[in-house]
Amino acid sequence: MKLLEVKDLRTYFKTTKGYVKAVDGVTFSLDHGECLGLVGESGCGKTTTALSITRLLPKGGEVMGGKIFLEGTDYATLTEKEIEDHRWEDVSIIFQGAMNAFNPVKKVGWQIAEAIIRHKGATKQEAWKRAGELFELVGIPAERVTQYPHEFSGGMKQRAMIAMALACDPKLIIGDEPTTALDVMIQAQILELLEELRKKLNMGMILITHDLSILGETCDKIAVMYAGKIVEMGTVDHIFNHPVHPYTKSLIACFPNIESEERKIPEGIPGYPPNLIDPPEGCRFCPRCGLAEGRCSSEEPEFLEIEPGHFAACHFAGKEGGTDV
Amino acid sequence: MKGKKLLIVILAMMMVFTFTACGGGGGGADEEVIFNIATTNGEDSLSFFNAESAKVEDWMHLMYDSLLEFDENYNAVPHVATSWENEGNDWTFHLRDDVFFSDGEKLTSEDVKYTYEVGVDSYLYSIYTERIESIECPDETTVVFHCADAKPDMLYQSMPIIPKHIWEAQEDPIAWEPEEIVGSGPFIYDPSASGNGVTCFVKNPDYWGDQPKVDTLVFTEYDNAGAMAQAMKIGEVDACYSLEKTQYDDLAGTEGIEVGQFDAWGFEYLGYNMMDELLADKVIRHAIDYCTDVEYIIEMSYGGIADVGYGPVNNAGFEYDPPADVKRGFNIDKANEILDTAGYKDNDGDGIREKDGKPLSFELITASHRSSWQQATVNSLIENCAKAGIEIKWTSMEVATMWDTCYDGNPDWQLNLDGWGGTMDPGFILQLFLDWESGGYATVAYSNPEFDKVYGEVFASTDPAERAKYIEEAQAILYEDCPYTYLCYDKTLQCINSDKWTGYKPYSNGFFGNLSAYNYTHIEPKA
Amino acid sequence: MGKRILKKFFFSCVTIVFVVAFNFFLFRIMPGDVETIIARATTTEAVKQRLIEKAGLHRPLLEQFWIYMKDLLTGDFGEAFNSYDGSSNVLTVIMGRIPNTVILLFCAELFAIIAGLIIGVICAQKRTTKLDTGLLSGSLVLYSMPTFWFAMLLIFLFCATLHIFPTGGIFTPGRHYYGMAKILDYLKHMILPMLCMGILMMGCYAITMRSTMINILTEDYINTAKAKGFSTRYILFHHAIPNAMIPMATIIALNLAAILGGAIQLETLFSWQGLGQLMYDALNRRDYPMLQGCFFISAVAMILANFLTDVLYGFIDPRIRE
Repeated sequence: MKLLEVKDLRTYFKTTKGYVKAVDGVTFSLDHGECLGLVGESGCGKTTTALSITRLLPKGGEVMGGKIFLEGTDYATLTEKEIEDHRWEDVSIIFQGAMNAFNPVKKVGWQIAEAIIRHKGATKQEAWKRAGELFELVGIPAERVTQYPHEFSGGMKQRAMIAMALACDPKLIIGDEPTTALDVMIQAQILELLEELRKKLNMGMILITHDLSILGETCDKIAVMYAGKIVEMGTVDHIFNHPVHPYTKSLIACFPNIESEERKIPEGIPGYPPNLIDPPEGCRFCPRCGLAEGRCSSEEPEFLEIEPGHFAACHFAGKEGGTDV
Repeated sequence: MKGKKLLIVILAMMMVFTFTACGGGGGGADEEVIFNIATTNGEDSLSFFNAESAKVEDWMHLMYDSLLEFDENYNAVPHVATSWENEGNDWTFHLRDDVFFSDGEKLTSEDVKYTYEVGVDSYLYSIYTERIESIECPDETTVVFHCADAKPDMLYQSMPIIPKHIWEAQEDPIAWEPEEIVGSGPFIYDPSASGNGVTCFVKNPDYWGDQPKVDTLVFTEYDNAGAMAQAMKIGEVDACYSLEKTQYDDLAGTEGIEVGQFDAWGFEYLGYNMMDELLADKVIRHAIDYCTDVEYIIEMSYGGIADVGYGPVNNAGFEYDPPADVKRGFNIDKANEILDTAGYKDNDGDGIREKDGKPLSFELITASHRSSWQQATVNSLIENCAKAGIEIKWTSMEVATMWDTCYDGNPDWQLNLDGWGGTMDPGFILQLFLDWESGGYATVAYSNPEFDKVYGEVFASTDPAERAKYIEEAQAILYEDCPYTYLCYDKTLQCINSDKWTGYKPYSNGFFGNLSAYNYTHIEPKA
Repeated sequence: MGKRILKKFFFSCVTIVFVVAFNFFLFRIMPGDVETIIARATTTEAVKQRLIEKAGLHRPLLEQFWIYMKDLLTGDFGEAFNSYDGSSNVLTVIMGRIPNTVILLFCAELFAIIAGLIIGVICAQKRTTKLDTGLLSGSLVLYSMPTFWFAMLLIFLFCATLHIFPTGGIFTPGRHYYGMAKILDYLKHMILPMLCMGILMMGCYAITMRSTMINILTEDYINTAKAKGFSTRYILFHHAIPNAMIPMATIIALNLAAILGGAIQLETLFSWQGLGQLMYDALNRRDYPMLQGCFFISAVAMILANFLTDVLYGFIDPRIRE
């Protein structure tokens, strides 16, 4: 059985102007121990997709349709109370910017221990001991569990966050841009640590980022999202070396190539993402796409498997050519 | 869970509230008869020497006895003194021999002598010791006072007799604040039930006179007049010692409550500083007197419940009513007439009269804490005097500053508004107007040897009719001299719950604070 | 942490010394000659002289100040011009009154804080609903109501109309109670003034708590706690409210000044014989030594309260501890 199977997930936000269709029909799956990278622009729906799994949506957000199977249980049908039990125990999250993810007036060890007490029914002593072990696991001296968040440096705090995320031995960890706020040296350490732990504990991981360089190192699969939909999904090799969707291609081209001979700053993609309250008919990337044709603006392309394990939603998928960006 | 715990705490608190609200009467069977009077004054001393307020004066009558008691017309009736004689300047009092203090010691003439001798240092009672030259005690039940004159006010004495053996034994009797009061009176102070604004007296079971009909007498201090009126209405208190006009009107319309408007000895006045160059001229004082609309002032500043007066004495039967040919009254035309005749003319057309370059412009000083209700008086004076060509400017100042500014012999002020309080003896208040440099307190630098002479006559005879004649003559002199314009005789407002209580008599000066303990000892619950 | 507390304590003491000096000179520059005030309208010269000497006013000003400071250090606050509760010793009278005020204000504050907290949290959670708007408006109305008006309303409602509580005072006059009955009698008299002040202050705390909570509920760590699978109630009590107490502590400290002033009104309205009522009485009679003593005690109480709040911060907010 797969660890996670998401089918046609729709998550909308209710506003006074109408529904914002943040995630509009997303389908993907994940195996135990596999790492999926979710990448795309700000506002494309990658965080919302991941948070929808345990329904951690901000006010106004609601899962409108689709199925979310975690080891066979459809989370989309669970009540709020039931899903509270699954949170952290089955799915935990490493938040972006650990600066504020910790409660400043409570000891860090306590914040780890409380989850263990709640989900594992452990005693206070047992929970705190486990917290100390987790600290060691991520490379922080165990005595520091009695310290407060403000006594940790940025990198240490992120490690502590990882320790906290592991507290209840989750099956799936969602990393929401876990290294964005860190400097490159520490970034490397954290990613290495995550890799190590993932392999050791056989956890599934969804890594959300807009930094393609990270994806290459850590992920098995990559899903590129645009305007609430996955436009292309495949292995690292597929995405980096044989991208099919024009958006994917442009995205990759946005990253400067350190090995290229020219010292050219690449162009961005002109235009803006569409309005998600009233998305355009047809392909959502059409207005900004260099290959756009008549069909593109009226007919939405299907999400098709163009080669084993490689999916794309584009009318030109599978055809030769592409942009020469 | 914490939420539930909080809810329980809140519910528990609510239950405590309800219990305390309904309970609190758990002192066992209360057959005690308690009479509760609401007072408004602040704290005061219980010391014979240091007490200041009228309220405490009443309390002294509860705890101690005096030589005399009084009926509702303020005629002296025997009390500790069974009989008395007067020969020339000597007064002899014969005392009962069955009066005992609460510590068992007998009250003798020695106590009376001691009281009058140390009484000169008492804030409230030194007035009774005036003009007593020496006191003799030929035996235990006889006291002889040798006085400087006939001392007719001997029969208006309300001096509480203190036990010599207790006070003499103190290191500094004057500074002593007794906690337990040893007295011979109908009530005994109960310190255990007093405090926190409550002063409690229990009846003296061994009292030689009429046994009080109530077991406990309680005075409760209310700082909030509105709350006091509410308390009166719902029966939480049985009487109010003094009411404000608003509350009086409110309670007057309530069934079962008897309200009373009572005379208060004393008067309210507008004072003229005779040291001021211009005000030294009687014509100007008369002119301003003509411009004083007392009816309006009484209506606006005194709630319509004060009386008009023409002299300082307002004891019943001794009020001065000027004969028609000298009576002034409110008459602006007459003011203009006498000012014209005296040569005060408005030469520069600014509406203010002058003489020799000095304009008739005067500063009127009032105490700031009375400004809210004296405003109407002042504005009326300003307006009316302006019509007679006299300018009045109003300065309101902190009362302490007013006292400093307006003192005898200080020429730097002109007019002020104030009041004086008197007592039972109709001649008492006249002493204000004695020569200011040797005994007078009028504070306006008043001096008239003729008045001093008549004053002497007032105290030379004990015959009420003769005294009345001299008192009238004295007031006639004052009326002509006009050192004050008399605004009114203010009144005291009190009330009693007549549904529950009976046995009391309204004295002309009040249910309470009338210098007699009669009501306290005779009030009883209606059957 | 100990060093921080010591430093704060030292500064508190310095402040007190300044207050004492200021206090002394303030009353000497009040309008009116002090001698006149003591003597008032006494008729006897002898009595007047005696009173003036008793107050030591014939000495030069600096000498009076020096004696004043010296006496203060030994706890002698001098004698008042009048006597209260059977004594004219300033310290004795004030000490006798303090328990009444402290108990009343403490209970009122406690009520206000708890009630305000609950309302604030409810408002923050049900933000933008009618309940929130209603409670917020209600809190604003309560906060702006004048004390005397509200007190009279309470008296009218609970005493005159419903006959539940007494109209004023501390104990029922004329009755002797002992033990539990006495405590109940005291409580019965305390409830109305406590509610009066408590309800008015509650408005202030509710509004503060509401905005604090709204801010806190948007913080990331609340999200983290939610992600960990905790219920809303748990998050409120273990994560949100502990953080909310930091600004609340500031507001409570600031309110202490307002309360001491409001206590005068409150105590006078309910004839509650505490420090406030004493001040009102002394003020009416221009009893300067008593007022001096009262103001000093109030100032010390304020400084002490602020000091304690500072210390408390160290416990609520670990970031300050270093």
